[in-house]
Amino acid sequence: MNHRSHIIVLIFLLCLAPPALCGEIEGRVDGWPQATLTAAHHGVVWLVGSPGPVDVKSRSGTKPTMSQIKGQFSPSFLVVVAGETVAMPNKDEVAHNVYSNSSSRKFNLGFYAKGDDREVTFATPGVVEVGCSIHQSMRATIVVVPNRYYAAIREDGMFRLSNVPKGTYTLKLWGNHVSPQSRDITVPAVGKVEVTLDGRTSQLDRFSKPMREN
Amino acid sequence: MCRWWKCVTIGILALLTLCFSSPAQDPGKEQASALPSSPPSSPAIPIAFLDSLTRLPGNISALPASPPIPAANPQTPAKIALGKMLFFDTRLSRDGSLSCASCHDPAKHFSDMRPRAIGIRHTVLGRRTPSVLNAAYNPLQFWDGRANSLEKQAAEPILSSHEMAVPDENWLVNRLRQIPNYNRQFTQAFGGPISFVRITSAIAAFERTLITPDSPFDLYIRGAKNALTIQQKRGLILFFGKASCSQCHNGPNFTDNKFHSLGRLSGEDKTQDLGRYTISKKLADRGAFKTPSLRNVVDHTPYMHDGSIATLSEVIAFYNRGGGDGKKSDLIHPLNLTANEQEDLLSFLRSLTGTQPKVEGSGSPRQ
Repeated sequence: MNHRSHIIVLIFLLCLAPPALCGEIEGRVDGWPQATLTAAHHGVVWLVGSPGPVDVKSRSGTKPTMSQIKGQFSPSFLVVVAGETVAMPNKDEVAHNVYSNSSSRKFNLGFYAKGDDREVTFATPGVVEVGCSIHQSMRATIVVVPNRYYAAIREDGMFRLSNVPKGTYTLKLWGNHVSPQSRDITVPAVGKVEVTLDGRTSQLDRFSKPMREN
Repeated sequence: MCRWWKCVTIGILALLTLCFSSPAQDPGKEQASALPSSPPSSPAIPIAFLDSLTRLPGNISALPASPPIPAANPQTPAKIALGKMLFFDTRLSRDGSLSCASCHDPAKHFSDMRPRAIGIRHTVLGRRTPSVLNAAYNPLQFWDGRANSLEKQAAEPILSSHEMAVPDENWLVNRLRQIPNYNRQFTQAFGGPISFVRITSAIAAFERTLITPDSPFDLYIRGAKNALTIQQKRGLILFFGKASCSQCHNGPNFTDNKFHSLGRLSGEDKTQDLGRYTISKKLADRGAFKTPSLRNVVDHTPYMHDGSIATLSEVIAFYNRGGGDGKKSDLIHPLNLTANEQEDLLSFLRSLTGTQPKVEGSGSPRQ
């Protein structure tokens, strides 16, 4: 085979392969608090910028759901993409009310019982604190992110965002026990970029400071 | 001039506003105008909303007209009459001192109103006597649920050495076969001779008639919206709302027929009653007892499986502070009920007393 045919084969192969223009963000939240029996730590990172069209249908199949069961919201932390609708079924033997006074999404589903299910659509990115007016101790958080480029912080404080189109973004962090943070970040066409966020900044009460954010 | 008119106009307007504004405190009006989607700042469910419900949370509902009747033991008048004779007959105990009715006394709402039951030769037993009233609606019997039918339940106290102390099944069958009238009654009820299974079947058939329908709550649920007082309605709202009673006390008989620990076990005491654990051997069942029905609950003093709480107000206070200090069910936590709310709840519980069955005379045969 001569030189020329090598080049032709190479070009042919390049045409076949998908354009490898997606990178990965691998990160760590330094000092992410250890889970204890009484406190759960929730957090999420997401990208702001222009990572392509907002993909509402990223969640295949079932609708995101936050139930009321045994006097609790379950799960008590949920991340959804703006535009998604969350089912809020009452699976409990008692009546509940589900409401939010958070600025990005105020709602009040009224009182309802098992079998009389309701749902809420979250159009605007933001952090939505959810409560039950009957049972004041019931609390939950829904973080509405602008697109599907988000990742939950794992228990060990690590996170990973895969298949991110090459580009420059702002990486945002929200956690119920850390201060909100932003970090500019450039994602390469191939390979990964590493990032470290500071999780020791504060012991915020998650209900004291709803974050209006996109 | 212009200023004078302005003053007069403002004055008149202020007066009009005062005259036409409704008085702020009018409870009746408040209730009538309240809507299901009241703002979260007012946590109470409005009474109008309660009255509009066709189905209550936890499926708390009217007592069905009849309890479930097992196919193997259909109800017949002859069998029920025989069951009643046996229920009151002290010859079902070894020394002739006790009948079923000794502990399940009709005059005491088919219980004994003692903290713990008293068996043969005045033996104090471990747990409180559960009432027979409406027991037929429950799939599991005893505080630890070890019997799955009234028939099986009836056999146990008869054969228990601490209770009626009958040595064995044949001993009792032979004793009753010496009473001609019983032979006749069994033939009439079962078409055959006396057997131990027939003894317990007849007792169970009688017990299935011991039900208490038509409580004010039942009438309310069936549509008589005035059957409950306003206070009782507030109590009902708390029952399935803030107080979360219906987490466990649910369904038509106000029990989930499950086992829950209220945190009353202490770490030290090795002699404690471990409840359902003794049957299931599951760690989660340590100190868990069956949710008792709340029907006629004001009559069934004292309370808890060991009769350790004397009054219903104290039981409500116990739950309000989040139960005991030991390991307990996740469903038990402080309720933050005000004194008035606890009164409302108590008032609602009074509405669960239904029409008591009329049981007169024992009719147990002498011969």
